[in-house]
Amino acid sequence: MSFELDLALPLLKEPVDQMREGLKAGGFRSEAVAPHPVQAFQATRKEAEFQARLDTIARLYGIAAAMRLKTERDILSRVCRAPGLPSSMVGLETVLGTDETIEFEDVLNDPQERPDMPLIPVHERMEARLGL
Amino acid sequence: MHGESGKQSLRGALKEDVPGFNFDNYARNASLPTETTMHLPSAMKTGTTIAGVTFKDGVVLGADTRATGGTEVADKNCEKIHYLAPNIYCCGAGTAADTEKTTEMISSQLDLLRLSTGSPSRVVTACTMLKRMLFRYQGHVSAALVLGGVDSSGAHLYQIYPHGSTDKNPYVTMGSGSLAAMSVFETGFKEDMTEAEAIELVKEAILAGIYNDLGSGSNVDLTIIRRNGEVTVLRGYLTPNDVEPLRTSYKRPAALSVPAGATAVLSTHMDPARPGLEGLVIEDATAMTF
Repeated sequence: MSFELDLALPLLKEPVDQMREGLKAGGFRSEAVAPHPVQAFQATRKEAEFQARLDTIARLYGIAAAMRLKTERDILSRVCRAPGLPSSMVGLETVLGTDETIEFEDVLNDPQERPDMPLIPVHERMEARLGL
Repeated sequence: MHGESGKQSLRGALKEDVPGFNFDNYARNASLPTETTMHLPSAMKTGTTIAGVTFKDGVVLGADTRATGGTEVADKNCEKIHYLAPNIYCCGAGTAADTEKTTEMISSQLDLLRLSTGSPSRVVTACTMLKRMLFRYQGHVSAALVLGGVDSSGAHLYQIYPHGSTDKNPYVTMGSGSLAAMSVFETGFKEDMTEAEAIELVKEAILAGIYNDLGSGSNVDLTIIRRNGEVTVLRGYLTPNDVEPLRTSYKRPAALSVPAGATAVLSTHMDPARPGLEGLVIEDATAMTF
């Protein structure tokens, strides 16, 4: 689920599923355009902030505490429903402390409040995730 | 990233369910002026004169009411003084949507904090939340704010710039008319003014911005926050540029004002959509979740 942003040459990072995505797909055209600066640093900010927090905790409380926090986050971010369905992620929000904050991500463009139906149904998403 | 416009690639769609800002049209917008002859409409900005002054018993905030989109006036009577907490209000200059949404977000966050701590909000809390958010977006959220309020430690006034820096002063101005308003403050400000003197000073400062700056105009709005907790919101305190007299005095051609019954009705025929639909009740329909 992590979103990596590579601003170098548009290389093929994962195999293109031409049966699903078409012969011309692969995302080269859209990846060649420079993203919006906010989009660029939003993609990397969360991970960078978390790493900085882990580093601080490791220096203050020891490496075990930092690893425990990292493990908790990794485990809790895997507990969710099938792709496309809403997952409340209560455990993850409690550990990260985001259940007591309100950000633009909570208010704008909530996937559950989209006026249109999702174009890719649950079954196809699940197949794509499982690589079938 | 997302696939070709109009088509959803699976790879792009799997990443589409990310809440928050949507950058889908950024590439298209960037290529519009270069590849076509079209130009993008400009975002509605509040050209603005906003000002605030502390007096003996609290804080007075003032703002004009003009919103511009490029060179035209988009809103002749917009509201620039936003509510943050019962004891904290914030004037906003810059892109109108940015100031409104930012102040709404911070108002919600202050509400949440009041619920979890059980004590009234402090002005410095709001200031810290705003500057952290604005710095995080590196100035792309174009909101220049004048934050004022009264809390347990007194009356405070802050000015917050779009990149996240803040200043704390007894009198502040922001916006395109800030220089005009500041000139009035610098001549007229004195410590421990009465409420009437403070209101007069802020009114003069905003009027200076309205008359001398193209980006500011229309009316003067005031909000007074006092140390005893009372807040007075004076929307449209002064309306020197009211168009109503001009509009009513203009003689319009008689053909535009047609009295009722001037056109003869030849015949009337009513066709209900379906027989039996006269007492139609529309029930609430919830969308089927996929």
